[in-house]
Amino acid sequence: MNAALATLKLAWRSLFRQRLRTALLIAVVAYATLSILFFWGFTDGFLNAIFQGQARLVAAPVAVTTEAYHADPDPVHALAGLDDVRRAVTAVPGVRAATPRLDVPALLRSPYAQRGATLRGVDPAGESAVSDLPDAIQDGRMLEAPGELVLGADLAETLDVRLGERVAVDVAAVGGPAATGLRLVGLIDTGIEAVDAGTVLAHLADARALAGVDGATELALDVPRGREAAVAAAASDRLPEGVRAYGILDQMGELARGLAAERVSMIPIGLLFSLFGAIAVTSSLVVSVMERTREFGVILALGLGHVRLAWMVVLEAILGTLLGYGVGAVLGYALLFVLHEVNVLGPLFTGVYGDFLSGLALGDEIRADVRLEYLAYAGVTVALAALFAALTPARRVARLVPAEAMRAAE
Amino acid sequence: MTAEPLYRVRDLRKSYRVGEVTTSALSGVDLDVAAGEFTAVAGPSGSGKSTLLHLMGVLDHGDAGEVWLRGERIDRLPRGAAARLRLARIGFVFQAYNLIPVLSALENAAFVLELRGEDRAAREAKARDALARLDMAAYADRRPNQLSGGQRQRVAIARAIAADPAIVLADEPTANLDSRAGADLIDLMRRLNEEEDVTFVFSTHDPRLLDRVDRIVRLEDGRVVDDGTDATDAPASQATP
Amino acid sequence: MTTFPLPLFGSSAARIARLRVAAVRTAAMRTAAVRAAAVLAAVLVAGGALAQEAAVPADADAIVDRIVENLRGGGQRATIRMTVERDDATDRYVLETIGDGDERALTRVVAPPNEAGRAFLVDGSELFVYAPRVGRSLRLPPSGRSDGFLGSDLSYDDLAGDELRDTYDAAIAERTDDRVVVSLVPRAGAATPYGELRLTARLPDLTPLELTYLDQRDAPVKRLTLHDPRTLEDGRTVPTRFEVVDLTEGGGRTIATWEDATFGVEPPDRCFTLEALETGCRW
Repeated sequence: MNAALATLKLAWRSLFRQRLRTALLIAVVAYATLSILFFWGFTDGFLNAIFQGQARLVAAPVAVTTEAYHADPDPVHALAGLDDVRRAVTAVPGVRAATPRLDVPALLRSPYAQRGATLRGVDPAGESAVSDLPDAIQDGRMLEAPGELVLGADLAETLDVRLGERVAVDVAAVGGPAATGLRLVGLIDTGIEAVDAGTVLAHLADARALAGVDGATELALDVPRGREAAVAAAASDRLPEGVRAYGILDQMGELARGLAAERVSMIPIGLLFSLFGAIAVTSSLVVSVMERTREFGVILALGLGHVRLAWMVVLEAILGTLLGYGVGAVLGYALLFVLHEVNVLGPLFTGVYGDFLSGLALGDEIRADVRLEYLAYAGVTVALAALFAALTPARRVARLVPAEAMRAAE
Repeated sequence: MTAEPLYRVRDLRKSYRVGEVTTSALSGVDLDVAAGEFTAVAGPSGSGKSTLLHLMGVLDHGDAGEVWLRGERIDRLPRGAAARLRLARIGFVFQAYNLIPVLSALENAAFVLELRGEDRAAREAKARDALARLDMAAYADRRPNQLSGGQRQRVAIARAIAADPAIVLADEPTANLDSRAGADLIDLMRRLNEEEDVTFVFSTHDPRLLDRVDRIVRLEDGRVVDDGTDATDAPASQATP
Repeated sequence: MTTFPLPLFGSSAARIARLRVAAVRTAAMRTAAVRAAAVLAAVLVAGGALAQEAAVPADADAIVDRIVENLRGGGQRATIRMTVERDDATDRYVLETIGDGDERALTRVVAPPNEAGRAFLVDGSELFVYAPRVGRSLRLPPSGRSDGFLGSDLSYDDLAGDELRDTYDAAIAERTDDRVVVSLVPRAGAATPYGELRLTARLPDLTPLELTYLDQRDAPVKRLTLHDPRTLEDGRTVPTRFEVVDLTEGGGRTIATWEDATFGVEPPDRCFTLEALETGCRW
């Protein structure tokens, strides 16, 4: 016990005496820790950005709809008793706004082309509280009255329609086919292909007339970022039978499962990061021990036993690694916190990923995720590396012959 | 000579094998060292001086023969027990100083005490005292690379005596020093021996230092060829048969 | 009627409405060429009649009414040879058609062999197709009536007289001794993508000669011309060759030529049933 404590003290002091080596070890471990934290914080932040993009540009943070509509998105399953539903959910903590939407499959026609799309009937006044689309109108303006239409810029280009022109809209509605002509008043340009090529916004009244439905297919709720699932669960408790609130992941369905799989597929890359980190930590420890062969010879000659010396080396490695881990964790979380608060990653990476992820609503806002579990990812990596790294030198130390070791070059 | 010497070495043999060639370093050495002696082991390079000191200091095992320290046989001790013995009873001074470069003179002097687990105040007091006895008090905070060769070796001696060992084994302590510094170092060791009764056995190949010692053990080809107790009556050149 | 009646889904509305937009479009495109051929035939048959000799009205709306009345002539039975020209290929069809001259028509593809047997039934706003290979009749989604046919942009909706009267405001743009040009401008909220239609008719019998579609930038995008009128016993003048030209970039041309036509017939109701669609109608 006494010897163990003495060895621990010896290792601790040795760590501070070998300042340069210790600083290097701490730097390497801290860097490995920080890299792993950053990797996962970025990965999750990136996925979150997709979820948020989806929530703010395509779906809704929380959508209240019938279970039947969720399973089979046909306006025939629209919400009845919209006012009651609205009253029920606006009382739920976290719900900041609620606005009805009516989604109808429609065929849009211009003199030159026709395209199928989902026409979304919205309340122009309420939509901006739950969606970023109104703010993404680059040309023209948001809907103000019935008879108007807002299109994604790419869709408008495909149809070759310009602001002020009429677009014919055909709908296969519940009560039979219907058609109307809507005047284009705004163009949405987000830079996201899925949004710019797929968005069709019309006044709720027009959508209702076209669909022959006097309600809404969903009530879109604005809730604080990150609380979508919790608020959806709380809201569902207050809703009548057959009506539920769906968080963004539930709304995305297959896409969300795909992205979850995407995260799983990132694990090998994460492990690669970990491997590099481990190699860096190992080599830094091994080199530091090799350099100290002569010193160890002297220490052995002066009377420290091989076992205690080996323990000293292991403890030095553990202590140094712990310090590096601590420093890396502090720096890593500080970095993640900054990258969470300030949208630095968005402008950097949207351009890089935008093209091959254009099918997803990835906006220009990517904020790092900050989760405690990253500490475990980095911890396991560093611990395994340190263990491996410490055992190798320990074995080496155990084989040292003092007289020979002292002859080793300084 | 008293009944029980501090060290008793009998028929000690050691050979090294380098590739196909086996070289005999010690070929049956007998030697007794009494407490309080100031003994030089002299001989040309390759005569076995360092090997003898290493085996006496249980840094290595001989092939045959016996080494006794205060009536306890130590030549067959296992590695751990040998380390504990060194730590408790034997002080070492090496030709290449072997100070720990990142430590100050004071920390180096206190290092053996630190390995023993003594608390900071006690070991620093002893180390300061040892440095003072070697006229190195003023250099306590310097690192080895800020000291001259002679000063480094004094720190090494301070490290050895600070732990109050039964004996200090010094392997060619002056080999890296100029003649003046070498002579000064031996004088200092001699003073410690006379004034504080520290037992020294040191090896040297420098005949000019031998007039400062009580006893000269001459080695040639791994054998003791002369064991004179008076330095003046047996110069190295005459001792050779 | 403010909006043009597309074919209704009727009792199976829920099931068919479930088809997502993309699926609707895919299905529409798959059968577009053949179906459109039939639609054209139906239009031609339904509108194959001609205006009677009468005093030419001064009011634009009345002139359009007269032209539309002429288009809705009596019953007929005919073989129509149709050529669809596109950039990369030319397709030729032979169609046999029966029409009541009002809003019902049954059309069967006779040639080419790989399309032979397909049949189409137009019944008011509804459109059905029969595919002999699967031996089943299918009600088509509403876009069937607005789809362009055989590489042109001409559709059933574009030609049906109802749309001309209900969707557009008419004004006389030009009148000479032998022809009148009526400008048709969509009313507010009209479900048409065009900016203006220009309908030219011969005077004094108001035989339609040309219908030009302009986009909302006053550029013509499509033109239907009617040729080779044949005077029937009752005095009506029937064009026997129709040409539709898509004026947009890469647009094609469709020519339909009337052969072996019998006018003034009255086909029985059983010719416009699903059974007749599948097995044919002889009387």
